[in-house]
Amino acid sequence: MFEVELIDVSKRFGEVTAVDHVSIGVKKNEFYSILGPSGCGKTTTLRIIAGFEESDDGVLKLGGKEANDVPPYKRNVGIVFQHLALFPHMSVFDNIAFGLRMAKMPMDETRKRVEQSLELVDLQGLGGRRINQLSGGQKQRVGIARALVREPGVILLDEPLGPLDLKIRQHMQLELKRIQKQVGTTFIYVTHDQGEALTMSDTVAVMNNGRVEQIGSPREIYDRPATRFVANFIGETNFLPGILQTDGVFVCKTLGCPVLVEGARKSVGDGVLSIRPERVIIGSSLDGLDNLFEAVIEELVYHGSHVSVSAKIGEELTLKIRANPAVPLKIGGATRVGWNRADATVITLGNE
Amino acid sequence: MRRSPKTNAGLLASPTVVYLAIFFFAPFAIVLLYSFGMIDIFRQLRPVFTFEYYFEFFSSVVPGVFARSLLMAFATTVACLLLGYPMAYHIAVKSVRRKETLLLLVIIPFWVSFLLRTYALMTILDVNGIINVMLSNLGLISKPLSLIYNPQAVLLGMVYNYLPFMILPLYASMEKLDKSLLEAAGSLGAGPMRSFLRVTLPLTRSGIGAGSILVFVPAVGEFIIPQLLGGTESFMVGNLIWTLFLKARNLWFGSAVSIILIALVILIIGLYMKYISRGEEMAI
Repeated sequence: MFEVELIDVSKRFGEVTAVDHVSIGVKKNEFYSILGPSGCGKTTTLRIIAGFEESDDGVLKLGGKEANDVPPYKRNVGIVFQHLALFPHMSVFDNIAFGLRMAKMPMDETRKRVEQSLELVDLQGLGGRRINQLSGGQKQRVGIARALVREPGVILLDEPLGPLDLKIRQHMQLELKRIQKQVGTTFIYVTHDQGEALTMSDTVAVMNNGRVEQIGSPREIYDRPATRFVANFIGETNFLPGILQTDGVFVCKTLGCPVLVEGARKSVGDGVLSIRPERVIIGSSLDGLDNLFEAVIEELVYHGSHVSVSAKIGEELTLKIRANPAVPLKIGGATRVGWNRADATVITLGNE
Repeated sequence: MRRSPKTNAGLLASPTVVYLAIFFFAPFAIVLLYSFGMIDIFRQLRPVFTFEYYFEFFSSVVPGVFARSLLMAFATTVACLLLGYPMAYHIAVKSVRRKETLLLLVIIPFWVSFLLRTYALMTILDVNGIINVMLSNLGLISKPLSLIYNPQAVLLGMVYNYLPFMILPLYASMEKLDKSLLEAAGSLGAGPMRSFLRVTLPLTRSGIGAGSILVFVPAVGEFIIPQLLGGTESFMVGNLIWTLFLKARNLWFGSAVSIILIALVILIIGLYMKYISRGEEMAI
């Protein structure tokens, strides 16, 4: 049974279809991310789960029960808003206690629970502060504590780390993951930041133009993208157009020669081969690789931890490669590049 | 020589200061002098300083007139608040597309003179007015209803004229209200009513305060509406001052009554602002 389930849910705003036949299932205690560029429908999907938007079609189930017509205040869903939406006229304590007071919890219990959740988000002793006396990161924590304190079945987070500085953001990513583990609640996390989604999630759903493009673990999403959009949106990649002839052989148009690929579930036909820059190996000792090509180095950009290389293979194909700075390379120099068949993925057009 | 930004700001404000000095502070000072009997009937200063005109206040019918005016202004403010709040809420929160149109409709009455609008009300409420004629033509009444020249008609006229002054500041404070706060309250288990009481109402206190003052202050001193729509029992402090100055020519007593009115209004507003800002402090 899923804690949160959307079955064929659609939402239109006038001419625009914001959410297009989306079906996702979020298991209990899962950290589930909905990842996509702005305008892909991820926030609308979240708002449908929260009850702030009504879907035009489809079924929403919360805890196994249909919840389409349940008003937000009866859904038992916690939300951490993108712009926090902390009550400016209340103290930190009153903000966090708000939900408990709405549930008519006795004062002693309320106090205890608020103190506990302040501790959980590392804000001990700040209950008396006013909201405008807090830093951005502290406000974020209050938002999280306020959503958590009611112990809802699921917590929705709408890009809550967006407004924070990079350093605090990275710290908060780990914090969030820790908090989620500690309280053992289902988190649905909406973000456009692929790094965030990959580091925190158990499962990622990638959305584009209102549709779900792929659902899988971070590793599956990154290593085996199902569509060109997913391959391109998450990390960097090289696309080699061609035809998948039989399982295991892909004839690349720009190379004019066959490339060995993993013989997996793929249908045969027109498609692209996707190979990540860091999976391409460059240098001289490449023995044993499934695919090997002669190349000429066109461009080198030094990044400290790695070097970005543009290497030309044949007449038409330029590969982006992420190389170890220790490998001796120079512009105009001839070299060899290659990769193992397991590191590349073929996306056939029929699949999209 | 370069001037500091502060001096420049001072220079910019100076025409206003001069204007106010001539047309506000000077007349006010004259009224004050009259109220203490320091000016004689020939408009000359005289070496007198007396509280007799203030004492006269308490030995007259004036306190009753004051009470009536304050009550009327209070009723007007409450009625405007009850009518204006849902209206402002609707414009600011609910209707996204028709905002401009609705705001325009609120402001349109200002395009017609205040006096004309009050006369228009008279033609509607009069014994031979539109309502009475229509009702008797329909055979619903046999003799005309007395809709005018009573306190209810005055209240109606006051609410009608002052309602926009309540709606506009309320609208401004609601416009600033972050709508996601209401969603947050909802997600924390607050139904529409409790969201309103715990979030919307406290965060729109500044609008309630500003609107109430903009309605209450002119309503206390109002004299045209009671003059045109009211009967003898609608004699307000505005009418009293008008009569004392222009009919009875008792400038000294009229000035004392004016000063007491001003002091009373300042006192009431001071207390009210203190009450309003208690919650507001947290919201800023």
